[in-house]
Amino acid sequence: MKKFFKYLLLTIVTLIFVVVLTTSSILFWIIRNPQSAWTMAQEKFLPRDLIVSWTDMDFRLDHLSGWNYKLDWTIEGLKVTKESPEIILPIQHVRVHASIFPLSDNHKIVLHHLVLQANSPLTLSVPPSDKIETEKNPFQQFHEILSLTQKIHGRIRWEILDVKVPELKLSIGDSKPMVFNAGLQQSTIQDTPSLSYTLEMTLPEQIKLIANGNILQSTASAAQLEMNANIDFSGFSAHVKQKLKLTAGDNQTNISSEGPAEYINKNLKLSGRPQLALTMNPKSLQVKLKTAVNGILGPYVRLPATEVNITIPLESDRAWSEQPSTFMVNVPAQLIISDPQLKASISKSCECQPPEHFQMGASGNIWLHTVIPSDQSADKTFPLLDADVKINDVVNKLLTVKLAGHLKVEKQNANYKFLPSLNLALRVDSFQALARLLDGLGVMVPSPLDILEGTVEAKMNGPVDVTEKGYFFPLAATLKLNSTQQTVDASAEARVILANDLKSTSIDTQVSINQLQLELPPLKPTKGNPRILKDPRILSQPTAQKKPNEFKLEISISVKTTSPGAIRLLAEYFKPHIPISISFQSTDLSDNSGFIRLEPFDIVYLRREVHVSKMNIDLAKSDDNGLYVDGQLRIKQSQYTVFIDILGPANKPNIVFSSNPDLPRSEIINVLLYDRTSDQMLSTDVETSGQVEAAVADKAIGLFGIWAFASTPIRGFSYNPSTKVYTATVELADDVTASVGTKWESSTQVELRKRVSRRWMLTAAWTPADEGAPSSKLVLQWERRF
Amino acid sequence: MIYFWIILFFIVVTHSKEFTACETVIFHEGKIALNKNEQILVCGINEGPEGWKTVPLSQAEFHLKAVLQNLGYLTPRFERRDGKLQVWQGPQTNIKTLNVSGADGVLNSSKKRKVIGETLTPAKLNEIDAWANLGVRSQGYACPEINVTAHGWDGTVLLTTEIGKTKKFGELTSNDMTDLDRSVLLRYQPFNSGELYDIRKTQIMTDRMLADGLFQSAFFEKACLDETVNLELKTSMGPPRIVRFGIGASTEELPFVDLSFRNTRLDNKASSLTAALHASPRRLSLTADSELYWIPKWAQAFVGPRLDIVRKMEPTYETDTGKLGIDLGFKWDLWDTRLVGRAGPSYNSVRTRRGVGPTSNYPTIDASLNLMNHLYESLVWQQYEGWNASLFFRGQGKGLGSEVDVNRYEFNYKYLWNIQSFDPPLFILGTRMQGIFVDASDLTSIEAAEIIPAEDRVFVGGDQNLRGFSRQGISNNGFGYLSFLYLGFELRLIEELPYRFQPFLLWDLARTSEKRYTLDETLFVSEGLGLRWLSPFGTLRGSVARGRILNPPADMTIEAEKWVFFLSFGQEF
Repeated sequence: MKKFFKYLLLTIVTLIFVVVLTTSSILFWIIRNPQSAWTMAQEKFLPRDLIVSWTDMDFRLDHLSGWNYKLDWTIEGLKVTKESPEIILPIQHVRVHASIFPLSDNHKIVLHHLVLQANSPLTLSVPPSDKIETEKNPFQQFHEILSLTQKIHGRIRWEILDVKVPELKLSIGDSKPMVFNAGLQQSTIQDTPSLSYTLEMTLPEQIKLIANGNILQSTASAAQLEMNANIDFSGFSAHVKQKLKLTAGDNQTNISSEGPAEYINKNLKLSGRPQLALTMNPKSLQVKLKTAVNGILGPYVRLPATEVNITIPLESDRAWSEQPSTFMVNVPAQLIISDPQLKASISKSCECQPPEHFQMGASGNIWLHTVIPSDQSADKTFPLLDADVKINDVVNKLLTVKLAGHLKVEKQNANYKFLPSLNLALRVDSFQALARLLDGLGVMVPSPLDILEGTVEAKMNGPVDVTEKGYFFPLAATLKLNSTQQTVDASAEARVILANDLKSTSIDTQVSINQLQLELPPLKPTKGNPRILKDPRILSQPTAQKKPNEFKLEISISVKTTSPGAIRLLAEYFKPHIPISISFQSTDLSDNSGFIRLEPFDIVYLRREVHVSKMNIDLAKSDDNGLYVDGQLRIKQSQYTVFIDILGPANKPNIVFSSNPDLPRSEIINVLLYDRTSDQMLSTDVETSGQVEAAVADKAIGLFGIWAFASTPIRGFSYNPSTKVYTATVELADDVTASVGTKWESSTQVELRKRVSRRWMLTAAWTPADEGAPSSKLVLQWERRF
Repeated sequence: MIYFWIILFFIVVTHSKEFTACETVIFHEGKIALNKNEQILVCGINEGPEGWKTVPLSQAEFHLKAVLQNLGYLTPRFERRDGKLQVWQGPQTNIKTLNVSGADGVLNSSKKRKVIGETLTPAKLNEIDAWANLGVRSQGYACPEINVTAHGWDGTVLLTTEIGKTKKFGELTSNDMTDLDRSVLLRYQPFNSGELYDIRKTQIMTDRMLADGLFQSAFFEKACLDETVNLELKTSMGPPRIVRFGIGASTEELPFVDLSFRNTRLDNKASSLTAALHASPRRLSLTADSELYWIPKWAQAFVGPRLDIVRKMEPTYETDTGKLGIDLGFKWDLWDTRLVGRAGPSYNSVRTRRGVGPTSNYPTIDASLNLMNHLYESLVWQQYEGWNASLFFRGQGKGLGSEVDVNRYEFNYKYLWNIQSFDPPLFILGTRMQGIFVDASDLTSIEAAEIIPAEDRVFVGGDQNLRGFSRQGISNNGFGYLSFLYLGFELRLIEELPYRFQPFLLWDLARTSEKRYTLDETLFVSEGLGLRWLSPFGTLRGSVARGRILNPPADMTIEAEKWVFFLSFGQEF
């Protein structure tokens, strides 16, 4: 037995000797012939597409004492390439200079120099990880990293560190590459090592992060870590500059940051200076954010001190606890009316101060394990949000606002179920003040509406109906405005339907006009033609192509008068007024339908009286080319009653004349214009009348023209069928005429005949050349035709 | 000293850049005139209804934008300060390009004047629309779709057209013309079925009918078919008899009194009778004229009996004449030209009350032929383009009731050339010729003065021919001439001066002779300039020209080479 052990020991020693000798020989050969050794290893052991080469390598291992050695390894022109996954790592210079103390209780490795310098871009592709990681909460995840650094810090002492990577393209899976520019420096030997770092990271979608700072790790207590960082982030339309400080201990980590931030997207420009404080311990994570927000609703609303507090409970070995996180948002707001005159005007008008401060807020619970799911059961419904929203009541003489809401959100699979409840009451107590406020903001409330006084109320109460189609928000509004001569009494009901998938909304509004009485502007036909309509043919800017919006908004509106003639327009010439009835429907999906109907009324101007028997605008037949009208005018002349039936587009309607007693069309026009038949008229008047008839037949006269000629004595008319331009001289007062038309030549011809009295006419006659030598004469002429 | 302060105040006020449209609207740049109605909509009215005593500034801004757009100010700027609307109207936008699409070879935008560089306004777009309408409708495209839009940001005007195929005149129908024979229309009709459609010809036809008094109003309704355009003539027929009495003035007669009677429908062929009494310091006359369409199967021919009794009181002579005659005449349209001719015998009676001339009775043959290009006829008021010509003949034969053989020939020709065919034209070059030749055997005008009536002899000078000489100032000592040839030119500038004044340069040349078919060496020349204005009451023309006589005979007594002024109403070149 003793002999057996003797041989066994000898064999083991021999084997160890052989192994040591072989290993030493191999190592010696490798150290002496590194290039050949690597070539052999590459051919025999490493993947075929992995190629590692260098231009020069110097490896030196010096024995210090015992098991202690000093290593100095320098590689120049190192290049590592691999086809799949793609790796291209050209590194200009690598040096590792270290002392190894394997049996030391303190640092086992003292890294005197670690230098890595790459001058060319590096490419590194990493396949997506299929490793199922054990669930850890944020505190655990952070402290695992912290523990690792502590272990490294305990075993390795860093002295001089210089790592420069100008460009590293890192791709994970099929995602777009991230580009890093990183650097680590430590140039002095000190008790508390301070590692300076710079990191510039460029991500897809023009997202960029620049961070620099230092990391301090206390030697007194390995658990203490302090990191300072200046962060400059731009992306997602935001630009944030933050000064961040992180301190980590065994059981608590604190992060604080402060700096300017702004968000610019199209016309929205928000700015603020957020202050963030985050405290993390094994049981909870608390976030406190405080910031001012400028830019909401342009310069008119400021949020000076918005506060957000979130407390997230943490559980060991779970990413997010099933317990809800609590949040609270406080948004004190300032309403700013910068124009002191406008402010004074509103104050004076409503005898109130506009609300300058009001408070908005929200609080409730949010379930982060539902928001950021891991292994939730497919068919189970998880709570996601349970929140209250409130605007503190604003009450003064201008308006009263009450808003309170509750929102509960649940999630099943990838679907969200919203269970909102909303109580809204808005009452504008001074419409006049509101009109002035809107006018100050550039929103037109035109005359005569702007002088009306009264209330506008809008409200919504109770839970929002949730159906298969979506969420139904019932809204109601009433408008009661008055002045001495004018009245607006209307109500509206709207149903806002938000689709379940939140990708579309439809608004169905029904407006009922109980009474609307307004004064028309006191325009005088003798005081010039007002140029109040912009010519749609002149485009002021290129028509921008609308981008398709993923969010669909459908609006349908229905407007109707509750009684015939509920709309009354008052003016001097309309007796007693223009009564209008409306029934109008418009939706995005179908064409307009309904009608606008003028109930019977009279137009009285000078010595003419026109009775509008009916005037119906069929909105279903109206289009971009104009309104489709169906109307009848009745004009009582001395011996005849003329009827004008108008049917078709308002700018070129079909006009049918009839009379009682019956007359031919040309004679009806004679009677209409001159109150005489042709046998009693001057030939020039008959010619004028004929030109009117020609223009009517050519549809060159629109509804307005017919209206004007029916209600206004005409003195001259010229029509050019080539250009379809007509020029009319109408008698607006006993001694005032006005020309309607554009062509100077035409008006010239009209002016060639001036009526002096019923039978006397001033005529400029020109005899053309085919009757002899051309000549011209001015004649005051009396005429009778029989 | 007070004057200094008044002048200083005036300068400060007139140079102030601010313009207060009303209490609440202040113009810092520009100054526009709002009419009363626009003021109500922009500023409100204190005396008005309660709802319109004031107008919100946003509404004032809205209306001002429309007013300014109408004036070509497309980029106004508005600000509010101290509760008032501050306005900077900005520059006017000018049209930089005119692009025409869909009418290649039909509309040539480079020929359209008064667009590029002009202010972009709705009125200018209307003008472009009317130009396009007339352009395509006069070239066979009867029913076009024309749209005009403009880009305010780069001054581009886009004219898009859908003109379809060319169409031809199709069927011409008319409404009830009572018992009037439809063939009457032929004498007015400047087109035939199958010809290329031209809307100007439909206007010419209605103008002719109205000028003739046949109808009191007339117009066409058209129906576009695939290849043709059918026309329906709508007319209004008043009573046929017209009595007119007038007191008036012309450049030659001031004042005058007219009394006329006209029956436009003596029968169902629309034969007519006109009788007129005229009295002025220069002329007393009683005329009766008739066109009797009695010739079967030739609706455009007529028999025209006529009677003229006239006393003329000219500076160089005074005559009483009477003329009774009957013509055979026709009215015809051929090759885009109107032809009106008549010829027939007349019995004349002349008595010279003052000056040199005969007192006798004699028969003559009178003939005339007038030709007028349709283009000239359609633009007769503007005098832009086209031509017209006329031929006159009057002859009396010895032994046929006359003591002497006298044949008088006269031709007139005028051509208006729109240089470069711009629309509106830039320059119109007018050319006119006139030739009068009186053949009185071998007699000279001096020898024949006793036997040839003054109206048959030629008296030269005045607005109608040599504009550098006074009216009939070249009279050969009152004997007149027997031969006369005239060539006149006029270069007129269109729409370059404001208010439609048209300046022109003139140059007239003429030669005369007191012998038949002979022209003397003496050349009468006029050079000068003038101004034409198409006033609301007709054409006013003024000219100043200097007459020159080249190679004058030794015994010439005409005072020449002086500036002569003419101001005429209604006369054209």
